[in-house]
Amino acid sequence: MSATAEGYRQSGYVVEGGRRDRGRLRALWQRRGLLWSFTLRELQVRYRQAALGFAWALLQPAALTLITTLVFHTFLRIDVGGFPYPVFVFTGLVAWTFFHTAVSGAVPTLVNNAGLVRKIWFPREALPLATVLAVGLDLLAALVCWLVVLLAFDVPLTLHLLWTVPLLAILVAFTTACALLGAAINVRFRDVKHALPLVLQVFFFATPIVYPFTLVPEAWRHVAALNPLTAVVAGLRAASLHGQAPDLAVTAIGAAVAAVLLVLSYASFTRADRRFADIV
Amino acid sequence: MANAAIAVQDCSKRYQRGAAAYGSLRDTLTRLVRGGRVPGEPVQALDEVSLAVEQGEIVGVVGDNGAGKSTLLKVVARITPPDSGRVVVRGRLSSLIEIGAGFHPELTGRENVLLHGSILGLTRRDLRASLGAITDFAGLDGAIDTPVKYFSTGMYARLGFAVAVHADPRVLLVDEVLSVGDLGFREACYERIRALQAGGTAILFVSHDLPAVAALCDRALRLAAGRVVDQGAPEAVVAAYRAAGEAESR
Repeated sequence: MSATAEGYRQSGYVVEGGRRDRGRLRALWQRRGLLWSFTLRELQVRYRQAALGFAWALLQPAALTLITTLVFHTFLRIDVGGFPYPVFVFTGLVAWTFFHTAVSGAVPTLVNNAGLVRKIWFPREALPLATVLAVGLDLLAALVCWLVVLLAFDVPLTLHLLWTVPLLAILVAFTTACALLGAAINVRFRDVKHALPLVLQVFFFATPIVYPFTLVPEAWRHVAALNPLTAVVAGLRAASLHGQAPDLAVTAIGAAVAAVLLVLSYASFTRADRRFADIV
Repeated sequence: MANAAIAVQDCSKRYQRGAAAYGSLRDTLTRLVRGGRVPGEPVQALDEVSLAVEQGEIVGVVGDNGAGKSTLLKVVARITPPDSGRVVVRGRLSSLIEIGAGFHPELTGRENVLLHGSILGLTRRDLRASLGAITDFAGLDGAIDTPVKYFSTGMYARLGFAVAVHADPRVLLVDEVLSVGDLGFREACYERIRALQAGGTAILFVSHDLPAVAALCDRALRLAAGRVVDQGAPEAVVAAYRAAGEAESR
């Protein structure tokens, strides 16, 4: 009898008309195996029949480093405070590549898995989250690569490099928020498919990746600081190249924006979730 | 009733017909600006439907296309919520609504068992432990490490069925899926469904295969325009449904 009661608690459910289901985070935790399965599927499918395999994860930021160095350093001679431009830009591109790949990969997941969403119940947030996790593995590889580049260019590493951890937390939180929000909106409005590359491009240039934050006019800096990627990129450079703590105000604003956005996007995702199967 | 494995109480659900369910932002903006409402009459897919399925019972659902059978299954499976009413499911649910919906063509049979099984709510450890039993039931020895895109329709269906019933569900939803396999496979499926029933699983069985409903089910009910219009012994419900169909075509 108690076994039955236990089983019911674990897997039974009550659905009521007009009510939101509660305990979504707990349901997701109980189904963490599913999150891992989706992540594994993504990795398996991505690298099967791809001759270069995992190297693609590093080729993208490497290629972007080359192009931007050519354009902004060799042609435009942008002043980045005396640091070698490839190191300067690669530091930003490590964070940017993660954000870009994760968001553009996560946004279409619900629509791409429409057959699944329409036929079986599961915590749907597992789909965009799995993409973020899978791309997170690329981020780890890129970070190792970044350390090698820093050492290769004789950048003295200090304890301030530990700032990387909280900065990456901001990056992951903001990326997850954008992934959830984009995936949910994409179910309702297929415009997202057309708008997303444009929005990402705007973000790329609005974030101090190819130029230093100090080049942003004073009057615009508080606006630029609202973009959590600004805090991440500027912070990573301070912690590595400058060997000092990141600008605390900019970092705090970035962290706050990312945290609020994460909570809001998760709440709206689980709200919109009720209609996914009907409209996807 | 109080402890039924599936209890559906006064569930209603409407769909908006004609309205593009998804669309472009422009459509929505146009509607907002013009103040117009969504075009098309709403369809009452479910209208105050109540039913209960006890442990160890197979209940058949028959009815014309569009009568609400699939919506009923989706509401029970919590794929889509009812507008009003309440659904209680006691115990792990597994569904044969579309066999192999969670399969990815590029992955092997083995990888798909782990993927599909975890979508159905099984743990990966449990799945790995029972991989042999699943492979045996599906009759896929030697093919389990082949990508499923190279599977025949029958192999695909067998593997999907094997994973879904392997879950040892307390509640099983079956929707018109067993028609894809050959005769031998269908027999094996029915046998497995009866075995689950004997073990106390509650089964909701939706089918146009009226002889199968009569043979397999303990009770049956007929849906028409979202309402339960008839219920009782499966032979009687099937006979009445046939009679109604003939009366209409005359």
